[in-house]
Amino acid sequence: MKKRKNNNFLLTDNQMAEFVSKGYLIFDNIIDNKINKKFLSEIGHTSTSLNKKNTDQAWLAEHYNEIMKTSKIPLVKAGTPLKKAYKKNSALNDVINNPVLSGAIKSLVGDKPKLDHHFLHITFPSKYYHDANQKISQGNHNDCVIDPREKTFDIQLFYFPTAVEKNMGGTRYIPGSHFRMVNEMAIARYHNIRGQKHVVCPAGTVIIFHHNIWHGAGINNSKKIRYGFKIRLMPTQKQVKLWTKKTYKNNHDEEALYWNRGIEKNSIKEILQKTEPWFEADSGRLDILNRIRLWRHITNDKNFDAAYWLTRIENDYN
Amino acid sequence: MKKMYTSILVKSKTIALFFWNIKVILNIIMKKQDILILYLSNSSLESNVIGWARHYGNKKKIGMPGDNDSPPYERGIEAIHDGWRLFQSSQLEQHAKGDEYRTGYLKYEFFFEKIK
Repeated sequence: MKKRKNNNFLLTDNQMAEFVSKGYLIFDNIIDNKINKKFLSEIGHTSTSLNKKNTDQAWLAEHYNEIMKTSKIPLVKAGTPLKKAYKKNSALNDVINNPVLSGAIKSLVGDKPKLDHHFLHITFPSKYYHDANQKISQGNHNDCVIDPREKTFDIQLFYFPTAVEKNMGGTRYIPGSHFRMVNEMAIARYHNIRGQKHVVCPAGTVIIFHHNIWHGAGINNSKKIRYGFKIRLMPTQKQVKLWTKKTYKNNHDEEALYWNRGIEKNSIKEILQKTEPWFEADSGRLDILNRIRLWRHITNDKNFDAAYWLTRIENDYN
Repeated sequence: MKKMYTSILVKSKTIALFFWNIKVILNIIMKKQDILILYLSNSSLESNVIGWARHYGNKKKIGMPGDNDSPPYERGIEAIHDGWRLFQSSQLEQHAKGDEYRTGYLKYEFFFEKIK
């Protein structure tokens, strides 16, 4: 993380490449406990809220509705500039103005993003659900219909105000799935994918996801409520060199595929070529091509390549 | 008296046999299907498992998203070795012009069943 003269933290080249490659960045424990407590208080969470004797589903729906009605989470119109979305003294304003997070937001979607929507996900312990369907984890999906954009992307901040323990069924997500153009729940048939991850994190963690990443909620087998607050942001400008003023120019000093001295560890080229355990032998290569294409776009370096993945198919003299 | 007891015994055995046969027939009719879906890393059954789902005929067992981070088999063929019967696999399709580099759904899907 770089700290600039104007006190803004911006992502590093490697973090940007990680986002391009994996489709997410994790900021563990980035929000301090005071703000987490403030957020919980603003949404009306009480530690005794689950001690009620009435554990039927009607009470549960009532409890959820009550939180929606009485919480201080504002009703924000779609398209509201992020800067105007939250009141100055609110916990959510503190969250988005966290210096590291606001630097990351600026790096990914610029300094004038609009809020698409936000939502408080509340997952109660599974024993509170009586309907069998609600005792099943959520199917894998992405948060969009077929999205044809190849270069522009939205981001989704997932803020976890309390710790998410393993048995709490934290969000399952598939690293590197964000280039796959699918239609929302159409992928629910894929129950498990090799390399899938589950959110397990300390309180105050924020994960920034590419809008197209495959994910699904797990079952909460603990005795505690699991909260996740989602904020979806869209850019209002081209996402080119938003984190840096550096000029990128590929030097064409490419390591050849396979027969080489090893790609430099943690270099941009290594990050972009790292395959996921679930990549098919053929489509996985296309995912690498798509990463390189996105990196070319966000760095404005039209000649960038890694191991000639793109140069090879662009060498056309007809 | 002895004849009467013998007759009752024979009748009881016949009734028991009748119900036992019904049970056998019902078991045959009511056999249930377990489903295994595997996604492989290429179109060969010998390739690695990259995704999977289980569904059970027994309604007391539920296969659900995220229920296991480790695949049931390393390679598709191991399911066959383990008694699963393959009944469907995806076709190889030509890439649509202009869309050759777009990635989407997992391509190599194999459906297996076991009748229990």
